[in-house]
Amino acid sequence: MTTSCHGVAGEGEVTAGQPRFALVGSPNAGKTSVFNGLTGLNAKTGNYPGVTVARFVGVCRTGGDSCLIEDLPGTYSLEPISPDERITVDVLDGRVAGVARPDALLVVADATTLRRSLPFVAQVLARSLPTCLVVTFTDELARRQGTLDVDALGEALGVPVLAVVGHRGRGVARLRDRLAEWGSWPTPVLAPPTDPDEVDAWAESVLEFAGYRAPERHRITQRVDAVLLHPLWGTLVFFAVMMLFFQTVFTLAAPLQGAVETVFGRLSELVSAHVGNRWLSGLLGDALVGGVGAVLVFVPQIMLLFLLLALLEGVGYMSRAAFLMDRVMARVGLEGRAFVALLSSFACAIPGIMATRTLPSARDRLATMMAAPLITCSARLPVYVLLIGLLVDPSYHVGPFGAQGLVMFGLYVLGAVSAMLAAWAFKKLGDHRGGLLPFHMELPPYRLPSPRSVLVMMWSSARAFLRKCTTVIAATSVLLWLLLNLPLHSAAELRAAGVDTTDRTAVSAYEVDHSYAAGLGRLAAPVFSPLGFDWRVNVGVLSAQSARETFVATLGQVSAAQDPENPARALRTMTYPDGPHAGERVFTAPTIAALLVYFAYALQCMATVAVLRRETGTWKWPAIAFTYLTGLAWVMAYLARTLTVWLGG
Amino acid sequence: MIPIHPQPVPGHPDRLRWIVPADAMPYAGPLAGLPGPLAALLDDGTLAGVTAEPGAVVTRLGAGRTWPGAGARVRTALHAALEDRDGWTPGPGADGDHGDALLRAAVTELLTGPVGGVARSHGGGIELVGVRDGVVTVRLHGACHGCPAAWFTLHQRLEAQLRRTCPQLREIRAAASA
Amino acid sequence: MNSGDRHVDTEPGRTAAGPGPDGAHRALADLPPGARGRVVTVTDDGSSRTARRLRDLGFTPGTVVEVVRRAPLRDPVVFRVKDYDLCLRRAQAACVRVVEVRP
Repeated sequence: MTTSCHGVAGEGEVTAGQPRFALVGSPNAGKTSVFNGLTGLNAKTGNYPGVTVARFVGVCRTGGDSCLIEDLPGTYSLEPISPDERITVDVLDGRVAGVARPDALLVVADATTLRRSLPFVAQVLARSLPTCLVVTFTDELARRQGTLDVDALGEALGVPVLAVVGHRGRGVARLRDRLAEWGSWPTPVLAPPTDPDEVDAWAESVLEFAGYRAPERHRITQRVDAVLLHPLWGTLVFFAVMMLFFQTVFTLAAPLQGAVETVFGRLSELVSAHVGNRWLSGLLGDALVGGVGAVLVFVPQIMLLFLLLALLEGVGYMSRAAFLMDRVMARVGLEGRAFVALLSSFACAIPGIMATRTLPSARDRLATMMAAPLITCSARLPVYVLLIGLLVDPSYHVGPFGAQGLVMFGLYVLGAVSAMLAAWAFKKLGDHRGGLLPFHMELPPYRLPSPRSVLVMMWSSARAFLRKCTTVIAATSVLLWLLLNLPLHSAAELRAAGVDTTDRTAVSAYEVDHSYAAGLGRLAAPVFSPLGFDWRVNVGVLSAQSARETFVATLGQVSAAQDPENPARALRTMTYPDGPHAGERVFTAPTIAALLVYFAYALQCMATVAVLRRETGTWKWPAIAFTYLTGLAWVMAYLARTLTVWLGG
Repeated sequence: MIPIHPQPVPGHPDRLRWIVPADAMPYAGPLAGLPGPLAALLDDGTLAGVTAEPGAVVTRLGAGRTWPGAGARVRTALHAALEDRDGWTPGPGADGDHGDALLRAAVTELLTGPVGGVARSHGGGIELVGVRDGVVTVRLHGACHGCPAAWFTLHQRLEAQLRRTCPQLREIRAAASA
Repeated sequence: MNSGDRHVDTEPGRTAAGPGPDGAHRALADLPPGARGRVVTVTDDGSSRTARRLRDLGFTPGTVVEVVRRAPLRDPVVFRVKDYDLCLRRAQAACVRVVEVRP
């Protein structure tokens, strides 16, 4: 069965009698924090079959028992207007293959917007499943001079009502107790009306009975928005925030990166000092510590970026940024929230692709996912730094700007512009069956997020990145090291080839030149030689297919440089050992330009492919992304090379 | 459309109490005449009876009917009926005295409860003297007696709370102290 | 206080009979920031989903909507409806027909 691979419930967790609860509510109602509060951090994500909608299921312990909680996609109505919203309704009706119908429902509603939410609650109550209403943000309601009698609300609705302040964890324990006794929850004698006018009258009457007074307008939000959304000041602040974002990438994280580098340097020294066996020492020191270390250097930077993104999101600035950028994004057929996803992609495409979950339209989501890998992620940075160092003299200036910085900036612009064009193309080509959805977005009041919720948000993004470091990159490094060092050559063989066996560098060079990796690199030569890559570059490009960062370490290993982390000097003087170009330098300007452009476009990240697979639920989209990006990378690199040759005269 | 919502009547699953705004239902007790839409439901046996309470209308289901089956029609009929204020005729038991009895009960509940509590917390007290034709008479004693501020706040609270449930309330007066 | 007059007409959730005496319907998108309008009806922009979604978001007849502010490029626009801030593009806001309410 196809759905088995989406299995989100862990083995051994599901027992026959385990009750299933579904969490429903509008976006921003605080559903996720209620879900996290109930299930802890052990939620499993998957995908609903056939649609690009992420699915979250977690286990909640209620006393001695446990139950399953499914966090359904946020929706404003149970009358779906998109295939995505259809999922929520289909799950409630038990019409999704492989997803059992929930036994009971938890509706989450924001106490500060209860007037808007009650018609939705009416729709949920009309499903006649045991239902409990969870009212969130009651603390904020009280702070803003609003009132609500939770017990009276329960009396009026005829169902249990509980106040939960999710991000502070208040009320969660009582909710847990309530879940345990779901079999005896009261149900309304008569379901709420369905006629729109009657629903309004019903909601009005229920709120009156519950002594509801809507909150005052949030003064701080009003004042802050007057500045942050001001035509002039708002735009300035927006650019300042973007500056801060990129400052974090380039300056703030530098000392931390230095520290990580030092640690791994020491570790590498320790390994070579204490592991006698040349083979083991190479495998541990060069492959594992060197390979993984080269990537872990970016952890401080990535963490800082994720922290910043989580803070901006938690405070409520992201929806403002989306509001400010909506008109710009509309030019390529997307909406403001797609900007937030693309912004996250500057850190790493993985959280960027995950951030597309906030887009209500499946077409927008796919177009954004297809564009996100083009944004210059931090994994491209070390490659760019290395190649730009080879290409441009650091002392060369254009006006007040260093030429190296300008090339870097140009690559960022290239990535962003290409991403926008790609999004536009995919939106145009996209499936028109769904039709266009009306754009709407809530601007929640500014809130001070609790440190815990920020850390949880940061961790959920960082986890995927760290997993990539420890699995994909470690495996690639080891595999590459093996490919470069095998097969073994006997001393007799070396002497027969005219290599001085006492010269370590000469032996290394011979071994690399006759390794499996070299064979592989030469095999790829017909594909890459039009771009000016020699077999050693090919090995780098091929190894970077799993993760871009490995390119740097690979070239280091390949060029047998003294310092594998800084092979620039060795590379600059690297020449073709044989073939028609023998003796010529490998890293000429056209080749470097082609390499830079190749890295700007190619989808060289297994983790991104995996996330695309997870988020879209099929292999079709990662396959499309891989094909079009790799094809585009080759064509654009060829153009870049031709252009550079032509310019260089 | 006038805001209404139903609530169960404990111990009587065949009844629903429809909470209506205090001023939408001017009577309390049995009703002699009902507006057309509700009367039609009594005639066809969907409903067996309709009575008025302060701030509520209670409907009793006809034999063999269920709320999930008939409730939506009752709701729509009640909405229409509430728009037709002249269509309601009070029954024999729904006179002013009956209204006073309900009002007395409501005042007593408030004085032993939240409103009386406020007076007691200030070292005073508030006591019901009588209810007649919608006029409630109360007496202040202890620290509250003679204090204009106490009278003002208690009067305000009592009136605001009573208005929510007792549309027949006309006035709250202070009795001369004993 | 007179017990006969306690309908609070500014309460959302009540049905407006139609255009007020002081004017015909206007599109919500045409109101300037700071203005308020009472929703009369929500029309279609070619697909019934827009009208349905706008109702789900709180634009029901009788509800008072305030235009809060416009984005720097005039689009989208932030509205305050049913106690929360919502941003819509002008194209969608044009589907909401309102009569202007003077504060």
